[in-house]
Amino acid sequence: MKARGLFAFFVCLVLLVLVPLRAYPAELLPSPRGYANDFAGILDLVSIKNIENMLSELEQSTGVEFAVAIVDSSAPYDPKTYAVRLFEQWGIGKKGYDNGLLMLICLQERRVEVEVGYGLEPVLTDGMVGQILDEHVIPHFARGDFAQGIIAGLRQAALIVAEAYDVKLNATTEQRSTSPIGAFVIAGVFFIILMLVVSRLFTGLARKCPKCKARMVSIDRVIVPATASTPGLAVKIYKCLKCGYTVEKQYRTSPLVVQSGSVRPKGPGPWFGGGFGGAGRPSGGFGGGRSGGGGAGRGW
Amino acid sequence: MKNVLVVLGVIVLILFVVGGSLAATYNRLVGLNEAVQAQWAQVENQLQRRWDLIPNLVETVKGYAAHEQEIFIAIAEARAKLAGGTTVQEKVEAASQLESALARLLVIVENYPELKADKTFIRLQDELTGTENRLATERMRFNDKVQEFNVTIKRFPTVILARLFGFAEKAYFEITDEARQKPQVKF
Repeated sequence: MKARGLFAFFVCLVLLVLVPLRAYPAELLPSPRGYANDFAGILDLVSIKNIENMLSELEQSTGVEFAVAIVDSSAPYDPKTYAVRLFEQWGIGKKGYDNGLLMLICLQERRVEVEVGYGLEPVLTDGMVGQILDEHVIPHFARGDFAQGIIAGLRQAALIVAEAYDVKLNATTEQRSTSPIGAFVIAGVFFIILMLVVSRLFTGLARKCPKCKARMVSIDRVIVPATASTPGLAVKIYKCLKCGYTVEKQYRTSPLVVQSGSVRPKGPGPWFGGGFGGAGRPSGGFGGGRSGGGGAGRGW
Repeated sequence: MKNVLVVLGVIVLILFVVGGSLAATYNRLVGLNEAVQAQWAQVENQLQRRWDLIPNLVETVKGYAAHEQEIFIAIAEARAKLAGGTTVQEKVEAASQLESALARLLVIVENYPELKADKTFIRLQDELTGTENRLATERMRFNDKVQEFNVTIKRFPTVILARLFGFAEKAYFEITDEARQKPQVKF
């Protein structure tokens, strides 16, 4: 009896020691995918490419890191707090220079928050950021044109930064989406898609109905559309025109943007909550810059 | 003779280990203490920034609402108090007083549509909102650091050493109820 009591006591002791270890809450915030992070899937491929081009040029010529994040909702935080935390976790801007900027768009809250790193605060003051939002971003957002608002706003901010660093930017001065080359690329993509659809149709016709041996036709139907970064879900329906027999097969569609050289790799490893941040924390491709709540925000 | 040597050796070893861990704990406490102080400096930076912004804001508002004397006096008083404060406690009190005065100012502003459309005012409003956000961020980080410090010095066995070297519990930068009720500046 006594031995059992003692044993239970030790078990309790061991549990007491073990249980509180690593009781950190799971990190709620997403990892960065590049400069443009469309977690809500509202941007088209061309706009994302434009943003990526513009921001990578900015980084190459000035070292300044801009990032965009579009989320469905900032829950459980308010949009500004979400921006501060996301900035902190991603470490946008170069370490020691803190020259980063984050534009966060929260769709449900209908808020855009621009968080400016410590090092950029003198260049992009809150008043200037507010003005950029009023003049270049909100008018587009109010019409529902997010891509145009983001690009115009970031371009304006990038121009101010470039002027302060005394450099000239190419990608910010011209509208790439309207250039003839862009149109050719789009036409080419459409042609390829058309060819694929046609060939799919033919292969679909080749499939035979297991019941009446007649040829079946196939239709592809998208259930969840793919975004630039997340795969979608589609279903292939084979239908026999003769006896009405149908087979359905679900498959995943690939993301629109292939993770190429310009898109940076995902941040490795976990982020340890609490304690001292800083030294050697992985920050998903960005340089480890910090911010302190500067910038401005607007609703639309 | 040999036994004595062995005992001596063990004692030296124990002293070495204990001394080492004491030094490590002490150094850690010093580091945490410094981090709290550095973060407080950040908070003070933002308090200063807000303090610097206010005259401009007040001047702009006066241009449209000169007769709202009461609020201008309240702001001036709180501002003077903040400048005169020396301890953390005094500054925290003055800061929250200033915060509630500013909140009242922003309520008054609602009655002047022309003022709300003024470009200078919009810019100042952005700067002020930005400063409030910065203050909130730095205050949160300050409280995090204070919490880490307080938890560390209260834990056994660090608590013994903390008492010995006189590391006392630190005060948080609490937000007063008045300040918490301040209306959000939204556009």
